[in-house]
Amino acid sequence: MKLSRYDYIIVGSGAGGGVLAFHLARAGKRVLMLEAGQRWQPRDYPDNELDASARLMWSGGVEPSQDASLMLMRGRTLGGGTVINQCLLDRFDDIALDDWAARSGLDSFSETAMGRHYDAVEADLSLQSIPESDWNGNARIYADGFDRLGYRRAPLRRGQSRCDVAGGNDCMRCLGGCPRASKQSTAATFLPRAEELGLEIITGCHIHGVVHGSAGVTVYGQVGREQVQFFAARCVLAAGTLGSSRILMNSGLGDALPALGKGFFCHPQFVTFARYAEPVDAHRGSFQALKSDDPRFRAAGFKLENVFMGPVAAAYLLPGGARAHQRLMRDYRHLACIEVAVRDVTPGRLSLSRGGQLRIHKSLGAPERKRAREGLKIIRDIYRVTGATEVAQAPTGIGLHLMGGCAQGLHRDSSVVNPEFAVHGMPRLHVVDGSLFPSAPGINPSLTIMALAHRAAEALLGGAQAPAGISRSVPADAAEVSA
Amino acid sequence: MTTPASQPIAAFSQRHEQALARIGDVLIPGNGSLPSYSESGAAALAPRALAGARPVDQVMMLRLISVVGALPRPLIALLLLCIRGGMRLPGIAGAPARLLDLALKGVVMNTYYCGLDRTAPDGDSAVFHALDFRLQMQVDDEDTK
Amino acid sequence: MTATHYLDQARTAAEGLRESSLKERLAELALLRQRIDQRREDIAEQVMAETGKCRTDALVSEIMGSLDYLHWLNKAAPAVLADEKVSTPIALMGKASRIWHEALGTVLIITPWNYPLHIALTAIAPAFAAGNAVILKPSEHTPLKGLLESLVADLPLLSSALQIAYGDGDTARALIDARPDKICFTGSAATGKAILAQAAPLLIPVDLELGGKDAMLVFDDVDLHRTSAGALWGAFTNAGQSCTSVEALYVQRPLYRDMVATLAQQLDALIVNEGDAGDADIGAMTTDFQCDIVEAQLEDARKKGAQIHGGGRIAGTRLLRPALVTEVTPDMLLMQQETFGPVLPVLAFDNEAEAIRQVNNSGFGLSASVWSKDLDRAARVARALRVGAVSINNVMLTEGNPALPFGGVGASGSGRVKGAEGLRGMTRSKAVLIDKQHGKLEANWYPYTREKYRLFGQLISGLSGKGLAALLRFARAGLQLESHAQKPRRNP
Repeated sequence: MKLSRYDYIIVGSGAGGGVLAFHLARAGKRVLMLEAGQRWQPRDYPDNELDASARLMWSGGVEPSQDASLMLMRGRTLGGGTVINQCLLDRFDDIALDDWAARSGLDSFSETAMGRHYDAVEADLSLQSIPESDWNGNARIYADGFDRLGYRRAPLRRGQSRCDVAGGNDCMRCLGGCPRASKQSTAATFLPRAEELGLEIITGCHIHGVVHGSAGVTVYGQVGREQVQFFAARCVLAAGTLGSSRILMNSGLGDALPALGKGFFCHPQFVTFARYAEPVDAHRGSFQALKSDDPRFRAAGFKLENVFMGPVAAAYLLPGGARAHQRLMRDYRHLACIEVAVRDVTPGRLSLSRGGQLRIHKSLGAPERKRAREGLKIIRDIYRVTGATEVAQAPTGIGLHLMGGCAQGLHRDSSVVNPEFAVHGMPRLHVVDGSLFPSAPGINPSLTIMALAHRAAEALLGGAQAPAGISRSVPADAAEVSA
Repeated sequence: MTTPASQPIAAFSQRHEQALARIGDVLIPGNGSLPSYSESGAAALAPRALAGARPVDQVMMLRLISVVGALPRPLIALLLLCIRGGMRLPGIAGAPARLLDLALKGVVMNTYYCGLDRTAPDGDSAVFHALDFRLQMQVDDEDTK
Repeated sequence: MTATHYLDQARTAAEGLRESSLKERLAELALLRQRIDQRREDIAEQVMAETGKCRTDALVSEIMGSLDYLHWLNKAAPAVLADEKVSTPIALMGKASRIWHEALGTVLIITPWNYPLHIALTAIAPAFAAGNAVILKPSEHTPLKGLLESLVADLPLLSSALQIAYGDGDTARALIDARPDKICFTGSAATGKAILAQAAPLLIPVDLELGGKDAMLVFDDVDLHRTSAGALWGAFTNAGQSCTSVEALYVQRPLYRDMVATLAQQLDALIVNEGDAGDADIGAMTTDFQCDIVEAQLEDARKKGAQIHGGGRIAGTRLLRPALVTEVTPDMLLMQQETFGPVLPVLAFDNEAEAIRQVNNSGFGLSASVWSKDLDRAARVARALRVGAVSINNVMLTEGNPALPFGGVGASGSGRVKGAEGLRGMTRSKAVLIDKQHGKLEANWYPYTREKYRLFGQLISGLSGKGLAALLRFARAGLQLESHAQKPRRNP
């Protein structure tokens, strides 16, 4: 009886795994993808927030940090975070990449060097800027406030193909998976193309660990209650910051990799609601249409986001005692919302409890609190100049964009993954996801994770099979030599 | 969604449901158009909401609902007030309050405002009716290919 | 170099070793032990690369096991090899008796590929300690080229006493023809027979450590979790490539179903990989042909109705997933031949006598294990088993104690390695009787006379009689004999 030995096993199907799988499959490699979540037909995605949290997210919705100052969220479904995010796809600027270059020692972190990787993934996606005609009341308040106060704003660029907002569709539904397959999640883009090229996918597969050997990697975990293991010449962890770090730690690699789990970052977000006399209908249409584009904000380390959320999330975040809370909720259609998203600088740490449970040590440092305060002040100014009748600040911080823990860099003492995307000392084990980030960029990470996956594909495949149209940079066996 | 029998949350019983409804009514007593938490029947959705939680968290939730739901209503109100106050404490000092808030307010708001109640006269969600909330999404076969 | 050269050199070395003391030889073995310890990670790497075994197996069985043995040898050898005084019967009063445990001369050690370091060292070390020169012919599949040479470099006695002849069966045949003083062979029964046949006309003694079909007998009063874990380790350690691997698990019927379920669950968690860092449970098979044998046996069992849980070869590798086999019948190859792979057949038995009969019927008789809370029952069963070693409530553990002898019964071979018996096996016992120089003639010397004959009769009656009177008779006859012996035959 023959058991399969794949060229690659990819654990995780989000921005990193999805793009990488496509490029590896296109190069003719035999690839197995293991995903903890389930596969959904677009039209079957949950139509309510309760099921979306329970069935598309890890730990049933949110995971608190150890001091519960941040509620973290991550996707657990085929397509990973790209199914439940807003698919805002921005490139990083040199402010972010210069910091990465300094921390990692890699000069490949620059707008110029990343350019062709961004070009490549953007070419495979449908990207649209939200036109003013698609604005809802919340966007108009946001724009009005920015204009009155003299801050720069810009239209959002989103991965979407045919939302038909003019036809009355409400994109907020897509936070629980886009039923029109318009949002450019990997489940709607790279994964189906990769499957056509032979990618095999097993969903509902929870990975516990990996064993790196002299000729291949064994990946073990369970599907339901059945214990499983798979074999490949190489394994790529693309299970996200929390997932990839957990798998490496649970594999007993903490001693060999002193930087593992360190340098964990997110973008802490603080939501402020405002009530207006007239309905705002922030939930309608393109519920997020604009972004702050002010160099002063960037320099100060925050951005203001034009966001909204469904009744469950709004109810969880609205403050107050029962009656005040109920009153605000009853006026849900009159609520506007802006959040400040902070560029995190205080590194957190990931660890495992003795029982193997992931622990997220992440507290808000003084710099984050200061940045949040500055942003919140401007939000209140916006609400003031636009005539809000009441302002309500969420008591809980949300942690989105989970990054770091397996930083890429030159040295084992300060990084986990080498420039060729192999774990230090383990030439057949790779990490390709947001955990590679050496620091928090202050910009939505999805597109850059995809671009890094494209670069990783080049590194793994070597020049001969480099993704089409892209010149090569890394020799075939560089990963082996440097590891 | 069915709850796998192997999960701790499968032990969610009538008693747990009643206890959760008591907690929910303190947070959502109802006001005119909005039904109270217990009127909405939302507590029955708790196993479905918690099905994705880690087993250790499910066990903790069952205990917490039993204990808090058994308190007299004024004590529940006082506890929730203390939680709201305690959440402001920075760092690890505020952690217990924030975790309790996540657990209790989280499950109550999740089950109530998800719109899965069928308590409006027309058989629709009374909660969504009161909010005048409805998301529109045209899905045809062409879209999901 | 020809086989004759090896033997010539070995004979010269053996002569040289006669000048060395046991203390000097043991001192070199102690240094060898130190070197192995210092270089253990290097050694593990080389062993892993050649055998495919996982790192923990390489470290624990090959290195730790060898170090343990050397440690025991250093402590035990002086007593085991010391000249022995034995009592001298009263009839030989005034004389002293001794046994000297002397080197055989040259010992040819032929080792297999499953434990290339451990099996070689546990034969070389006692042979050398006893004062022999050694020629090692390692398996051509796992020669560990240069490893032992580098470990004994700068140890003057050991490096001259040890030669390693790399090669296959032809090399071994040539070496045997060159007439070593003893052959120690570990390997398959088929090769063992051939060696014995070749050695017979040359009258070379041969120790044979051959394969097994080792059984594990489990009664229904055991701890299920521990016993199942023990069964899996016993069956799968070194990927099942141990002569004492558990190859048949007999479980008392009331426990059978639960035990099979527990085994299946524990088996699924075992991780297979090679070249690991200590985190794989089961390494690769060493040779392709052994993979083929294992797969053929499983295929045969499947065809004959067996249920197989697990199993399978990972494409392009020598990695086999372990297999649990149930619904086993005696006509299956895996119940008739040694499997030597990660396969565990599980059978049910109803009573003690039936279980013993099944085990003793296998033809092999290397080792076994008996598991029961009732230690009297366990001991009773252990005595009834026709095997060379039994572990009670543990598995493959007799090998864990270097003081215990190791060897088989029947098709599993003869002779013992390890323990005092194994060390003595590298010697011949020389009997020595010492008398003083004097003028007296012995009573049993010539001339024979009627009188002497009568007195010998009285002496024998005295020897075999009881009580003081008999002793007096014996003493009187003895004294008369002695004085009679000094007289020449009367010549009238």
